[in-house]
Amino acid sequence: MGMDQEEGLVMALKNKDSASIEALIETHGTRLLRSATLLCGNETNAQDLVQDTFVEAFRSVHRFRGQSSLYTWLHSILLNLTRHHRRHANRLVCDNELAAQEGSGSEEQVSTLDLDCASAELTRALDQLSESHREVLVLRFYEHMKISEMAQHLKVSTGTVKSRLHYAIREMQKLFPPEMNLFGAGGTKENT
Amino acid sequence: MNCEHLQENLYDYLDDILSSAEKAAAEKHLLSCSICREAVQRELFHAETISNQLRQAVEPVALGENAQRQMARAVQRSIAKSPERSPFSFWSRLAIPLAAAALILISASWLAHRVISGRTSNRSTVNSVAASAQVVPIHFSYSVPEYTFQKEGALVIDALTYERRSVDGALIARK
Repeated sequence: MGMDQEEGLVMALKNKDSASIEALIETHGTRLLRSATLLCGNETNAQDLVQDTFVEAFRSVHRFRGQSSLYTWLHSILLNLTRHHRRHANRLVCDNELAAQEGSGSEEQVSTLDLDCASAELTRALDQLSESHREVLVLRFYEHMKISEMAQHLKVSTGTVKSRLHYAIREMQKLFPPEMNLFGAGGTKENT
Repeated sequence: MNCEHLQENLYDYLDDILSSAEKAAAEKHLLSCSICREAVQRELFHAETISNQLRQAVEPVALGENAQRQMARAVQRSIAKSPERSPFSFWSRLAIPLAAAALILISASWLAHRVISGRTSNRSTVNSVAASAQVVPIHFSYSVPEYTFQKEGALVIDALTYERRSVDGALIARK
């Protein structure tokens, strides 16, 4: 995203008119929704969380100092809301609608189903992780944050992030079916 | 760079935040060490596969145009109901309980002061009544207990009158 567009969105955040709200939701809504779905494990709840994120952002616009990108700031609000939500809600199940929406055709269907199966397994495994382990996996592998950025985002030390990441991957290795070979020790590209 | 050093800085190497000298040293070590090379490739493999799976898992999830519009309307309604929080919202939330506590404290102090000063005024009323009455001289005496003092000139407090007195020869009854 260009600097001009980012500045425009920050201005939109301060304006609070309907066009500004729509522009912000259009730019960051889907990306936040996907991240929220991974964090809370359910698309319906994720949509509520994203909506609450935008409401909170418009209310707390004075707290945005421009030290991070607007998306990162919005994501930190989302993360706090998700934590709050998960602590007060029952364990959520993976939304099976995702699998039903996939394509048609026999050959294509097989590969899609395989892919969906792996994705469904992944989201199911994610749901079984502790909150802190799920967060580091999503931030590292979905949001592609560096360790230092994750530490800042989660308000913990870089050592804690590394440790959580290590144990999160180890947990996933236990939870994820070994035949999918996503986390196995034999899954490296080079076996010397 | 040795294996231990590389393992410690593995994520810094992957995040490309090592200095150019450290990066060069890490790459030189990786050329000669298959164990560390494997560790790096394992991390890269995790990053690639987990990233792909996470991306694919939520790819169908999207905010359509209708959903965006609905969300925008809901957001607008919410922020119209409760507008922007002021930077002092934390203190303003504390203001009412703090003011109530201060009021209770001031009231309690005032009441306590009234009670104490009431007792004092009662005592002074008794004194003034006594003063206005006819003065009848009465003589009473009391026996002063025997004190033993270490030396003359020391300050003591009389146990009956609570007056501060300097020890003199008259007070030293007995040693």
